[in-house]
Amino acid sequence: MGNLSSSLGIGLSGLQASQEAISVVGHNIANVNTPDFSQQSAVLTSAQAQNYSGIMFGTGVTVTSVQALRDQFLNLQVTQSLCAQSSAQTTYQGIQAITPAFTDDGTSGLNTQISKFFSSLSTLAGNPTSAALSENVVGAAQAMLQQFQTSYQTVTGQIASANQQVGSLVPEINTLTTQISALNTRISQQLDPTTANDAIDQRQELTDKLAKLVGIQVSTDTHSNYQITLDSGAATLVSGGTAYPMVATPNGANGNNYSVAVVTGATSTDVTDNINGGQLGAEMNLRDNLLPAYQSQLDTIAGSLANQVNKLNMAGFGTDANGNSVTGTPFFTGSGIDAAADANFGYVNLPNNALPASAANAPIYKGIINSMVVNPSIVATPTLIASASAAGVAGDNSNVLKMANLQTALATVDTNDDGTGDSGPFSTVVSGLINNVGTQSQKFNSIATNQQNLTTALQTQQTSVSGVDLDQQAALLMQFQQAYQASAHFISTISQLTQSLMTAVAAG
Amino acid sequence: MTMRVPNLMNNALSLLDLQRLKQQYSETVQQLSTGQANPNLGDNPAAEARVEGYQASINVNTQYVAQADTANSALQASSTALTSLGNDITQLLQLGQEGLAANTTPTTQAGIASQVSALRQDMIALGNTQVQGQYIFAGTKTTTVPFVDNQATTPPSTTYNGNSGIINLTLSPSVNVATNIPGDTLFYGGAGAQGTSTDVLAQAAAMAQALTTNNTANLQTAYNNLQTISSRINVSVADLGERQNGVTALQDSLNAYTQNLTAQQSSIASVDYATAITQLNAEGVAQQATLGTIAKSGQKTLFDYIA
Repeated sequence: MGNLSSSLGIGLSGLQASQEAISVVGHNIANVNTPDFSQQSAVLTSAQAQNYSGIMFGTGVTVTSVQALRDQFLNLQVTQSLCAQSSAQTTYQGIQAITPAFTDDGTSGLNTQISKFFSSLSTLAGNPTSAALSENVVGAAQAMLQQFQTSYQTVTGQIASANQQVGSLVPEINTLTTQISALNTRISQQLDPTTANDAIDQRQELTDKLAKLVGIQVSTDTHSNYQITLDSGAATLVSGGTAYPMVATPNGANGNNYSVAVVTGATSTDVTDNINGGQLGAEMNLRDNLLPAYQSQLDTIAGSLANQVNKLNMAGFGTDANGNSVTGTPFFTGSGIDAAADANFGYVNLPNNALPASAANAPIYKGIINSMVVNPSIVATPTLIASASAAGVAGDNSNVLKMANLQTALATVDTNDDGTGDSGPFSTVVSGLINNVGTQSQKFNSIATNQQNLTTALQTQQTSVSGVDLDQQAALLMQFQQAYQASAHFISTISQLTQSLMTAVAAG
Repeated sequence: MTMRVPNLMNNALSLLDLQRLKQQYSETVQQLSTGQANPNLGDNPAAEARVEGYQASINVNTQYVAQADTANSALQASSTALTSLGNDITQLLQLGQEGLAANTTPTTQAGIASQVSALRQDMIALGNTQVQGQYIFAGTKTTTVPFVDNQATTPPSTTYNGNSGIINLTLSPSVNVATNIPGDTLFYGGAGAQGTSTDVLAQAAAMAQALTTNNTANLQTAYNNLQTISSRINVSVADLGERQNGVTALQDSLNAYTQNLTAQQSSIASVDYATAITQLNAEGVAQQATLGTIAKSGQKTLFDYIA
């Protein structure tokens, strides 16, 4: 049977338990706006009973643990969703940034400038001996090239920006992986790692941040450590208490773009092609695939246009400053370009100006736009534009008419680099490119929005499970306050009883 | 089942909704300020591709219309010169008739011969007509004086320095129009026909010579030849007229087509102001409602009621 003294102990345990539970409520209220914080609750358990003469008497209450309300599966889903959302959003922003370079409002833009160039040739066909109209063709050609180059350089700028982002994201990723590994250590050192609630929440928050930066896979080992690998599985970033740093190094073989490696001890694993998700994956995809593809299409169109126009201009006859018929003059030339593109220009400048004959000898248009200029000889003497098909007939417009008619001709653009024109007219191919940019922009915007919706839905579920509800906390506070007051009253009563007993003993 | 609704949840959802409303509002404002239904390339790529396609067609059509203008100018210049040539030949025939009349005196014959020679000179000048610095009857050798008179021969003869080249202009993918008549075709009746019975300049010279020498037979021959030539020139005038009519008709058709394309393009590319303004108002109301809701929600918790 319990005595008064043990009853005091029971009352005291009630006071302590209520006080600890109130403390947990206070912690919850304090973290009501903390991201990834999981609401905690004190787990109250009745204290072990004691046997008096075969009768079990309770001994009060104790707080056995503080548990967090957490759905680990939901947390990992949120992490993956954030990763996909960040990737789509970054890709969308990267493409959106270059769309002005492809917008055609009917007064400027690629198609408009190409059209103006061919229109100027058409006008020249009406009066092929006119120096003014020849000059006009030169001006239109230069404006067209400038438009091509502006579009190309806008994309180049965005590629450089993506590369710069790659360089600056890597240190951020390393900071996060280091912090996560430190938290892994703190959590695993607990007697019961699953009760390291605040550290687990902090680790989750950092993991979510990491997932936004780079595509990752997360798993938990038996010691509650997060094991984090790249989403491709190509390298481990965090294993227990160890973080493996990423290193970004300019790669001379790839235009000094950053290559990314993960360093594991003395081993460095190149993961440049193995990062798929997150901001880093998106920036690398923009830099290495999406944006260069647009440049390649621009190069193809410009290179094909140069080929077709050069072929005709070199076959026809213009007039030099002395009034002599001149043939074999390329309309477009290039200089200061890399060896591969130079070889391509070599084809353009061949006497018969033939396109390469086979896929094995395919033209390399890369970077051709940057070097293209209107032949300086033609700029100096515009009448070198070969309007005539034969020598000595200045009024013959048949050749310039052929050049003007290239605008609507089919099979003028070599889209598959096999050396033969396979698409056209030019306006259709340019429209295709513009449509491609627009469609990609729309696609990634749509993916980003959908992913945001999914993330929001998951986070709503996560918050519903783990978030702090102030009403609930207020109710708990009242509940534990009442329990505390009751325990205090109980102790007071026992105290009075003890006092009465003491008084009786003294009186006796 | 009752779902827990912690405090963070409402705020996050409401803010996301508000953010999207603001974005929509901003897009509608952009539509109204630019007048474009799809101001950004990614708004509606399919529509953008159609707009681009229409624009390309409009550009090509505009180019064809400009070519048609050029063709019409060239044909008009040739037509004017040809009309004058026809008038000269008519006068030659009248003078020939006068010369063939029985009562003409040698003095009269000499006077007529002089007029015939003057008309021949006028025809040579017509053959050397220039428009914008180009000789329109020189074939494609438009910078070369096509007809050179040679008075040293008897009768005087001409040399043709042009060629038989045709200057075409493209008025549509399938339509090329010849904008010139080579001088040898028009004045000689064909390449290599210089000095023959179809050569109007040679027949004019022969007529003047016959009048000067009072050779009625030669005069009659020249007269007959000029009559044939006159018919040929009339055919050429009619041919030019038909070409001009054809070009004008095509030009009208191209203009109508361009107008149609422009209307189609505008229906896709231009914003419908009534719809956009209505949308803007609706979005404004939705935005205010969301702001009001956010301000109201979460104002009170149980703590407010605990004394």
